Amino acid sequence: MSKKYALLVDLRKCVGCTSCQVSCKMENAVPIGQFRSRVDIADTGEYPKPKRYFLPKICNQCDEPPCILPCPVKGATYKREDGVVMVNRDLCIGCGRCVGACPYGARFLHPHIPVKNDPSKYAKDVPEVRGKKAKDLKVVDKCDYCSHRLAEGIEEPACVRNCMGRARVFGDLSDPNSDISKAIKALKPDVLHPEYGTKPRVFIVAPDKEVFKAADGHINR
Amino acid sequence: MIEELREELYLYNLLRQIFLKEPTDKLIKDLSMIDPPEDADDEIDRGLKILLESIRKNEHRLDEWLEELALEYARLFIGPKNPPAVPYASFYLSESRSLMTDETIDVRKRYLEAGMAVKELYSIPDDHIGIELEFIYYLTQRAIEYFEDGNREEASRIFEMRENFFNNHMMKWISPFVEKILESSSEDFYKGIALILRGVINPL
Amino acid sequence: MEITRRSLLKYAGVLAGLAALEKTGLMSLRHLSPSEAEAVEKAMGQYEIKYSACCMCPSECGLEFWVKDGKVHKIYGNPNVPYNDGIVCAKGASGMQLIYSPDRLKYPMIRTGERGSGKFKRVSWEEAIDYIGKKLIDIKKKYGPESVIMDTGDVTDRDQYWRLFYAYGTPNCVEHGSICDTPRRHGPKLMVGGKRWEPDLMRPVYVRQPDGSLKKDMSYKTKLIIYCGWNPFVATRIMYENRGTVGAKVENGCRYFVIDPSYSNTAALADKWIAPRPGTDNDIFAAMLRYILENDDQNNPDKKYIDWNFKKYSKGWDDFEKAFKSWWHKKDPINNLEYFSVKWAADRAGIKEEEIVELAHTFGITKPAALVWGMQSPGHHYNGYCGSILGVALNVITGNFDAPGGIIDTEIMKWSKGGKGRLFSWVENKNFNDRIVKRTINGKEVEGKQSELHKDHYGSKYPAAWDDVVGDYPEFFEGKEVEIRYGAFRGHKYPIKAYILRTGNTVVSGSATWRWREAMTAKDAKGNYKLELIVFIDTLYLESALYADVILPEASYAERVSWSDIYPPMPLGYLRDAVIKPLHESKNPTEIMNLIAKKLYDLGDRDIKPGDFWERYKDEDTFATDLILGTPGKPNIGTPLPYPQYPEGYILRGTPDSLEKGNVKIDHEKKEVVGEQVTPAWMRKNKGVAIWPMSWYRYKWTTKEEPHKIWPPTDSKLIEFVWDYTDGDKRKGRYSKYNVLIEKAGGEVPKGLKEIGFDKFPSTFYWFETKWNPYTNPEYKKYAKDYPFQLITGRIHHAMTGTQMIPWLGEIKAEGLWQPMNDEFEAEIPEAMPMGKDPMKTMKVRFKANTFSVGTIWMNSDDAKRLGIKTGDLVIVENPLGKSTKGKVFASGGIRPGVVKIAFGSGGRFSPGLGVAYKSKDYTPDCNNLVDPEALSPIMGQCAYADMMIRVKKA
Repeated sequence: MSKKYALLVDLRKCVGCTSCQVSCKMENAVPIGQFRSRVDIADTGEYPKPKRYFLPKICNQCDEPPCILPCPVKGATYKREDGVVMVNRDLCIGCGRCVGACPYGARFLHPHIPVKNDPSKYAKDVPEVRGKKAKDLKVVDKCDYCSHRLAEGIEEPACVRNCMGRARVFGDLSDPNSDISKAIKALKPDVLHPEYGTKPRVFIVAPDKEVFKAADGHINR
Repeated sequence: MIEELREELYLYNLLRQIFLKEPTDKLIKDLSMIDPPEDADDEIDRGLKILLESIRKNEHRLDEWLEELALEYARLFIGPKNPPAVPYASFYLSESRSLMTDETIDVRKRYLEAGMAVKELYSIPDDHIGIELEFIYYLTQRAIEYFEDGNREEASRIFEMRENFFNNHMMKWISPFVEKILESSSEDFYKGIALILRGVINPL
Repeated sequence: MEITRRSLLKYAGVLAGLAALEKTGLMSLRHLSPSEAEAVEKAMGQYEIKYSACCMCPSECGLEFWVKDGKVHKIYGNPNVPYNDGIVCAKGASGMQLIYSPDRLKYPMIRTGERGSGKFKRVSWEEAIDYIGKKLIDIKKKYGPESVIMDTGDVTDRDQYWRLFYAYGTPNCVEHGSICDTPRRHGPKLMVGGKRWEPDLMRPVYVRQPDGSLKKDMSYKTKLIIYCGWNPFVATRIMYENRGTVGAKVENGCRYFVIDPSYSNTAALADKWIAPRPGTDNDIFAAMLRYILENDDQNNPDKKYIDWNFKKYSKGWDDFEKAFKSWWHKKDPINNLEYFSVKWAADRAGIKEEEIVELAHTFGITKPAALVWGMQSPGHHYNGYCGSILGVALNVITGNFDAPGGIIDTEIMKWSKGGKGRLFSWVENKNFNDRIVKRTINGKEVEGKQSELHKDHYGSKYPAAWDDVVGDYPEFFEGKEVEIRYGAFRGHKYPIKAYILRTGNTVVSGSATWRWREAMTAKDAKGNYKLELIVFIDTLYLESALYADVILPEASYAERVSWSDIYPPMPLGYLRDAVIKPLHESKNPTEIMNLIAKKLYDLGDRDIKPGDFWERYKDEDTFATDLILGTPGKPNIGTPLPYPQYPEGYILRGTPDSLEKGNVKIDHEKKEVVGEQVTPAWMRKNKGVAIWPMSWYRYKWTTKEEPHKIWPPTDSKLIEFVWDYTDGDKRKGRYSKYNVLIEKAGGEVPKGLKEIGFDKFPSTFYWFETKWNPYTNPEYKKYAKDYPFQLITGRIHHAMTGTQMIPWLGEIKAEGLWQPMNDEFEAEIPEAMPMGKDPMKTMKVRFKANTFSVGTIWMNSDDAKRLGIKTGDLVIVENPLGKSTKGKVFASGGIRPGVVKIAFGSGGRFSPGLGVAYKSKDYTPDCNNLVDPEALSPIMGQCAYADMMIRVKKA
């Protein structure tokens, strides 16, 4: 059976350090102002009962990804058998439709990676790229669980490797004995906005459910 | 054809020796025994002439001159800081003028294809002029050996490799490198060898 | 096939026949075997992994650099270093934005404008070193070498500089200690010879098993932690306290409480947050101790707080207890309540009595537990010593000191480092600082050791300043002379004429910023600067550089070789390696040391010996090895015994593998087990780290309940509750030598002690009040009406003085102190490049308003409302000294009413070398501008950063 990668974040151990956010930028050369991985931090409550919530977010690698359908180029964004939602930089024409389609704000157009595919081939159906040259368009970027590391057999995205509180568990859901399978069974985690029907594959252990309301920002705002 | 290759071999041997380190007593004495070419209608001739004349001029004070040549070698190619003629290809070929770039790695790949590697891998950039010349020297030698053994197929393969290294790598950077030597050295010995180098790699 | 070059070779034939050109061997290339070729091929275009240590903050975690083509491409934690166990924080991960920053110091510079103007010209190293050398020779001749201060602000990799300047002849080689947290460390040093006490949370540790094997132990034992003014999740990242605190909580059911006027990130995950008034930590600790002493009942399991066995392993408790109790019947003038009673502390701290009782009871009854006090509590208050001493006492009497899961002194089991490599002359065969020197005092020639010229240790103010005093430099820069009042040179005076600052930024951090700016630019009547030489050595262009005469660019932490060994519970060391070559024209400390040494020698300084510098230290590795000669140098003690094959108590020296395998010589006379020396080369073969086994209860024999008197390193080799006592005819205890100095000087009392009404250093428990606190010190009540807020400070790890220039860290927010409240600006920044060869490229980027974090002023939302202030408003904060700073407010419920908090170095950054941080200088606060430069804590001269009263008004 194919592997099925997933991530679990245990908020009981998240110390709010944002190492995941910066480690991701370092690993994937994410431009300033945009994020593949981001910690949403919210201060609420009045003295003497304040609260501060930390909610680390990345692409949910949804099983029903709403970002794939609107893509006008077949194969430019797709879900792999191992569960990772990918972008093919050779095919993407940078129309940005998937960026708007993701309800979590997990996608952005990467200012430093120009489109390679010829947009004129799609001009008829995609007004967003009509009259534009490849070099003027930028490909979409998003978290892919550090797929370049996975390809080398390193089953540990950078955000997991550098997590200060050891709050992140990454692994294979197909293996019932993997740490993540066991953690999900034992901890009954939540997912972000299950009502969207996207079937996220990033799980969150949240002792205080208020966190989902208080820290409800998009990854890229 | 083998004879021609053999002649080349001498030339590359001379070049690599002079660019890899400061000249030895033995090399200079050997060189002093040959006569300069009479007419000088290409750069190799001109270079050789200048080189040999500089030897003639300094023969009487050889030890002293060798010391001067060693100092000049260090000044031109080593530093202490910002040597006037940086001897690495990547310096001329990378946008950032830095060493150990993708170009260096490309050169390493070419050596590897021939089953070779730099003796002190990872500490000396592979694209040092002396090392590259030694690579050419080595390939020429191998080609000769294969020809002698009658293994024409291998000989052609090695030969292709050699041409490829000339055309797609060395030709791209030798001119500016030679320019740097010419404009910053007052030592005829190095000016001469620089002209020979350019003549060999980038025939006008 | 044809030979294309044939025509070129018409004369090549002339070379034929020359012997030198006959078939000769290869000089630079070699053949590869097929398997070698395969391995090289595999590695090609791949990353090379190099182990090193971070230095983006003083935690110095072990790192794994991924280097390609001589450039750093990735940074992770080194999984082999147990301190951080493979993890690196946000700041560590952002290292490339410092290494490849366009704002780095690139080449040596000499000042051309006035000090502070930032006008410099680029010069060669030769010119810069020549300038420094000539000045140093001149100053030595005119005023004596002691007139030079070598301040290696950051402790890291300082040893080359100290070595050089000790050899030059000044004892005034200092680090940032006294602008850090010296009162916090005072109790541990006084009582066990140690420094910082941290919970036993570092996992993994290697523990000897009954079968002789070493087990990698990952289990947490701690059941309770109280963090008082200590914020490991945001401030100093004692790396293991992050994963350890939440790990112990989730995996071992450990509870943890946080005492802090502000709701720190550490508080956000705590079981309980208690928010007292600032500066009342001592009060809470004193009340906890009194409660425990009064309510301890050895027969009631619910009140069996004290583990009286501690008396066996300590000295002087009865005297301490008597002195402590002598206060109980006295009434505090501020509230007319009995000292140290629960009621008294609750009144002063402004918290509920039940909260104090709960703290005392829970701490007494829960074992193992750790009571931790931080930099921002006793560390930054004028009277922090008292809290630090009480903290040690509370942990010791409850049986938690050096217990598994309890609290550990992270200094005294460190591997030994420094020593000979730093202080020792190989040529003269003695300590530079022990050199006998002569000075003429009142016409009489006097002899003494070089060390006896130390500005503080023998000076008129703070002789017990173990970590040197930095906060008072301004008055010396302005011409006040150092007055030696104790020791051989009593009566000697000298001016301070040169200030060499390396990796520090004292203008911003060394007490009040305005005071330092004044002092660095003070001129004499002739218009010459009173301080004749300022040299700034660093990788970054910080504010202090603006005042320098000469700037030297130092190799970044990725470009030099040294050691890291921060806060370990047992001997542990790891290599900082030069993973890339020094960028621009920067040089590593060993080179800089040699250059200056050689210059001084060439100019005739014969205190400098070639054999102590450039002749011996031809490379960094040799220096690094000398620094750790004989390491770890710690005894084989504790349970389980680290090396049961060697005698208990013997000093262990050598690599972990040589000790493990028995590759050793045992010297029964010296009681030493000597294996193979640790070197950088050994480290590189062993993933960059040396780890020796962990043990606990290191103050007693493994086989019997008796002290072995080998450890801790106090005079009695016991935990000491008395600090000046006689043993036979010898004076002992850590304060005794200072009292002896005072006695020999006819009872002359140092300035610090005089300030608090002491005539000598106390022999046991003592108490005095802090400054600028109207709730504990009646003297300051009069300011309370006009200055109704207490100002506290704290550290935002992401945004400390040197690293605010890193754009990725501006995308983070932290507590109420570092928030996306910027005005729109444009800056050149290092931007990560997903394609091409270079990991970073400098680009101009526009930052929209409120998208990038800057230093803010954190205040309570009700307080703000009352003043008509809302989040984002620009305010002015003023103190009674007439000083002020400006910044934007972040108002929230996460801070106690009446308290305002500003992070250190987070605002008002006026060096253009700080890139993005410089852009916000006009609307971000500099809390140090509000520090009272005269409020230096009386024993060690530490600035009282957290003692200030202020008012806030809209700008």
